[in-house]
Parts: sequence; structure tokens; C-alpha cells
Amino acid sequence: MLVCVLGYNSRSMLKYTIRRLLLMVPTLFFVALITFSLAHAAPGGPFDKNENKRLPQQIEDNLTRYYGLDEPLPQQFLLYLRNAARLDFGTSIQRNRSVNEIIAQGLPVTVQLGVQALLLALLVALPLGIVSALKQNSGVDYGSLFLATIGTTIPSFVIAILFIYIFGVWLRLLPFVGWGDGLDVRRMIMPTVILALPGAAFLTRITRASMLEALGQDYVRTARGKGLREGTVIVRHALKNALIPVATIVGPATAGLITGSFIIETLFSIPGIGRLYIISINARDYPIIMATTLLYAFLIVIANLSVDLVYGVLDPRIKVGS
Amino acid sequence: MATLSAASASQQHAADVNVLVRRQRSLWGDALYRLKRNRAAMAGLAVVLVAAVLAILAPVIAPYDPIRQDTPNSLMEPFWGNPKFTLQQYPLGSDQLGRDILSRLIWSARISLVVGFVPVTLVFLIGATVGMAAGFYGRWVDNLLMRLVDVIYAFPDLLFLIIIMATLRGTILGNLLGGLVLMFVAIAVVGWVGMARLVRGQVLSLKEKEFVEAARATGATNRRIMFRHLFPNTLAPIIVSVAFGVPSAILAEATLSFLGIGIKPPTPTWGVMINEGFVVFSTTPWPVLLPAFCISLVMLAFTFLGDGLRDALDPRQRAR
Repeated sequence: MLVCVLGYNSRSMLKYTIRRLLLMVPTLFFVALITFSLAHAAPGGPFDKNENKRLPQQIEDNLTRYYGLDEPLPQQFLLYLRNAARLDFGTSIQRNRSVNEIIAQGLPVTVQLGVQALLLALLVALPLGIVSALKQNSGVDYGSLFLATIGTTIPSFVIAILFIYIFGVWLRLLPFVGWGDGLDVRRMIMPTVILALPGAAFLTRITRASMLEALGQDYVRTARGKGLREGTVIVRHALKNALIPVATIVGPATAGLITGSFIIETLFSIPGIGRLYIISINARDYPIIMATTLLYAFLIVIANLSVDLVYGVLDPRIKVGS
Repeated sequence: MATLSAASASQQHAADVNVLVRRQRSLWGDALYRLKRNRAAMAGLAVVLVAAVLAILAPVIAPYDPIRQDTPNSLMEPFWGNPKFTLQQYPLGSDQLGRDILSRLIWSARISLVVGFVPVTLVFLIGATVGMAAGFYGRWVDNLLMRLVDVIYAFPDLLFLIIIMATLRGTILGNLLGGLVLMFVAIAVVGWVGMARLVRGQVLSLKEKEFVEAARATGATNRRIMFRHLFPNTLAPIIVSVAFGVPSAILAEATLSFLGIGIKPPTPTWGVMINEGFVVFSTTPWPVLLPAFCISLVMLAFTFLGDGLRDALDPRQRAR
């Protein structure tokens, strides 16, 4: 009987997963279309960066032809899609290297920074949220509320500036420029902490609220009523259920880490793709803008999908696919 | 019958326990009462009002022209760091171009509040209309509008804002009022989606209620049902959403200007001031720290006010 139910579930789950994966295609198509249209709607091209030192007309024409910028826009877009489907995102206009190569260089830095920040956020927020729920209106609870208010309200670049001022300029404790080889812990502390803060703040509140709700449920009262130790009740009964809604944060967290990386990488001069993105946008480097935007959209869609799938596994009461 | 006796019993109860016997209040009167008792929200409101007065009176009270440069007197310390301070000098110091920081802070409040309120009005107009249409008419209208909403919603706000601002900055639109108009448009384009989803959800559940059926039975037109019956009932969550929309618009402007793709210098905004001051930050921190403080204060004020409004208008949704 049980096997039968499981079999049915996993088959519908598979169908659901495939349908969601197929739905990614139109989403990514629209993202590409919007970015492409906006990028090309803007006046000025990539070769007129320096007003005083214009390229000779002949060279500019050749370059324009080389990058296919003389084709009609729909043509350019179709060509782009055809190449992108083969994971060929062209050549950067400013750097004269393949987009894949440039992104491959920056991506590990951004991913490392993002994963570190996410882990730090979880490590701080989960215990803090749980303790705040167990000891409602205690010092810890108010402390976590304060942290959450600061983390969600004060812009992260303002917090970053304060950190740089206090620990970098004033106390001279931590360096605040560059990333090094990715193993320099002292260099990583400030960017990681600041990138983690908004997520940690949000996560603390969610954990606390969902833990409070779980503690008020009948099954917790039953567990207490049958004389289980308080520790067992909290960990085995309340916490296990309380963590389910927390899993949904992975979607927004991915988006938060991406947008956070623009600010943090720019401020600390970290050579990741967040900083690359801002630089490329200012330099109108279309191939990089397009590829990075698509990469971001892809990551976010995947994150949202995995949240929905994991949610269905963790909480069988939720029907996937409806 | 049951509800009737419950109602009379609760009235009786209220009369018994409440010696002060409050007058029966409407939803709005009740909300206002709750809001007034919320100290954090009132403190937030006070800060917002002070900022609003400063912003409106900026041309009168700002001691100097915020964009006048005075390079011989650049990077002056604020009065507390300057033992020889006299009233003829810049009270909060000057930036690297010798511009008066106090005047720039005051004029920035103007931009921040305008950026806070104008796009939110656009968001309300577009989002409420789309949400109402999608929720009320359903079927293909709903499908079409909501697919559009889904695509935009899947994208992080800041990423979308960056793309719009960065690509359209060079156009005529991007040059109107130093980029302010483009900022309005960008925030509205990104923001209406949330409002549309909110209103649609409300309308979907409200349109099945008896009062809509009753209105229809009395021969009310679709338009009348939407504007006179459905809309007033969606107002409470709309107000809360608008209240949180204001600080997020202010944050968006500050972040974009800080990244160098928002409002164009020399127009002073807190984000622009931080962006420009960051070059000299490690030696002269005040040109950056003061606007950073202002942004934080205004953000906190609006958030407390928004929390207060949410708690007042919908006590069931209280976060704590």
C-alpha cells in the first residue's frame, strides 16, 4: 500500500519536474528578449566610449561587421539565441576574450563568496531563531529582533561602509580591498559577513515564527503529555516541522546573494561576476551583459524549482503540481 | 440568531468592562487608534514629517547652494572636528569639491521623498488596475496578465532596475531632471507586479462573497461592483503595501545612485554623495558617513511606520 502511494507520488513528481524544466525555456527566452531589447535600445555603441579619441571610420565599420552589429536587430537576436543554445556567448567587446572564459574566471569567486555567506547566515540564524522562539521576550529574543531590524532595513552598502570605516580605517584590523587567491581568510571576513547579514536577518525571523507555530501544535502537546523529555520534544517534534518553511528561503536567498554581490564586490573590489556585471553595463559590453543576465536568471529559476521540489518531499501535505 | 446574540453579548460585555465606553469605531477609526498607540510607528512618522518639512523648505533653509563648488575650502571637517569653527563656515563640513554637506543633505531629502512617493503612486495605479482586471474578469485576461507578472516576478528587483537604468540612462528619458524621471519609470515598471498580485488575490476571494452577489442582484454594473464594492475592501492591504513600497523605492534610488547608475551628479542625493565621497573615504569619512546616517534613519522610520500600519490595519497578520 505504502509502496503504491510512494510510486504514484514519485511518478507525478517526475512529471511535475519535467514540466517545470520545460517552462524554464520560455522564461529564459523572455529574459533574453528583454535584456537584448533594452541593451540595444540604448543610444551609443561599444566603440564610442572615448569622445576625444574616436576610432577611424574604417576600423569601426570593420569591428561592427565583425561583431555582427550591422545586421538587423531581429537577425542579431536569432543568431544570438542559436549560439547561446550551444553555450557560445560570443566574445567580449571590451576585453577581446571569449565571454565564457571571462565568466569562468569570475564565477568561482562569486560562488565562493555566496556559499560562505549562505552558510554563515544559516549558522547564525537557525540557532538564534530557535532560541528566540523558545525564550520569547528574553534578552536573546530582543537581540535577534534588533539584528533582524538592522539587517532588513539598513541598506547593505551603508553597513559595509560602517564596517570598512570601523575595522578597516579606524582599527586597521582587516583589509578591505580585493580578494587575493580565495584563501586569505582576513580579506574574506568583511565581505562575507556583510553579504550574509540581510539573509541572516530574514532567516532568523522566519525560523522564530515557524518554531513558535510548531510549538503551539497539538502534536507537541501530545509529545509533552506522554512525558517525553523537553529536549526530545523540541528537537524531534517541533524543530523538525519548524524547519520546513525555512527551506523555502533558498529561492529568495539566491536572488539576494546575486543582487548583494553587485554591491559587495563593487565596494570591496572583488573580481567576481557581480563586479564584472556592473563594469560591463557601464561599458556597454553587450555579450557579457547578456550572458551574465541569462546566467542569473537560470540560477534563480533553478533555485525556485528546487525549493518547490524539496518542499514537496519535506512536507507531504503540500501537493506538488497543483 | 447565534451571531445576533453573540453580538449583543459582546456589546454588553464591552459596556460592562469599559468604563470609558469608547464610541463604536469604523475600521479606519479603529486602525488609527491602534496606530496612535504604537510608539515606534509614531516615532517613525515624526522622522518622516521632519524629513518632509526639510525637503519642502530646502530652498529656504539650506545655508548654501548644494552644487556650488568652493575648491579652496574642500574637505573641511564638521563643526565638532574643527576647533576653530565659526558660523561662517560649513556646519557639517564640505566634500572634495568644497560643496556644503549640510545643504546637500537637505536637498537630498527632497529627491529621496519624491522618489519614495511618485513611483509608488504609479505602482498603485498600474498594479491595482491590472490586479483588479485579472481577478475580476478571470479567464484569458487573468492568464495573459499573470503570465507577464510571473516572468517579471521571477527576476530580482535590483537586477531588473540595474538593467533598465543602465541601458536607458543615455536616452532623452534618462536625462530628464537628472535621471529622476527614468528612476520613477524604472521603479514603477519593476514594482507594479507585486501590487497586481496582491490586488488580484484579494479580488479573487472577495468576488465570491455575498455582498458582491447582493450588489449584482440589485443590478449594479461590473464597473460599479469593482469601484464601489471590491476596491474599498482591498484598500487595507494596499495601504500596507504602499507603506512598504516607499522605503524600498528610496532604497532602490540610493543603491543605484551609489553604484553610479542612478541619479546623475551634480544633483545631490544621499546615494550620489556616498558614491562621490567614497574616493576620499579612508582619509575623510564624514562626506560618506553623514548621508549613510540619513538613509538609515529614513529607512528605519518608514519601516517602523509600515509595520505600525500593518499591525493597525490587519491585527491578525502581526509579525510578533
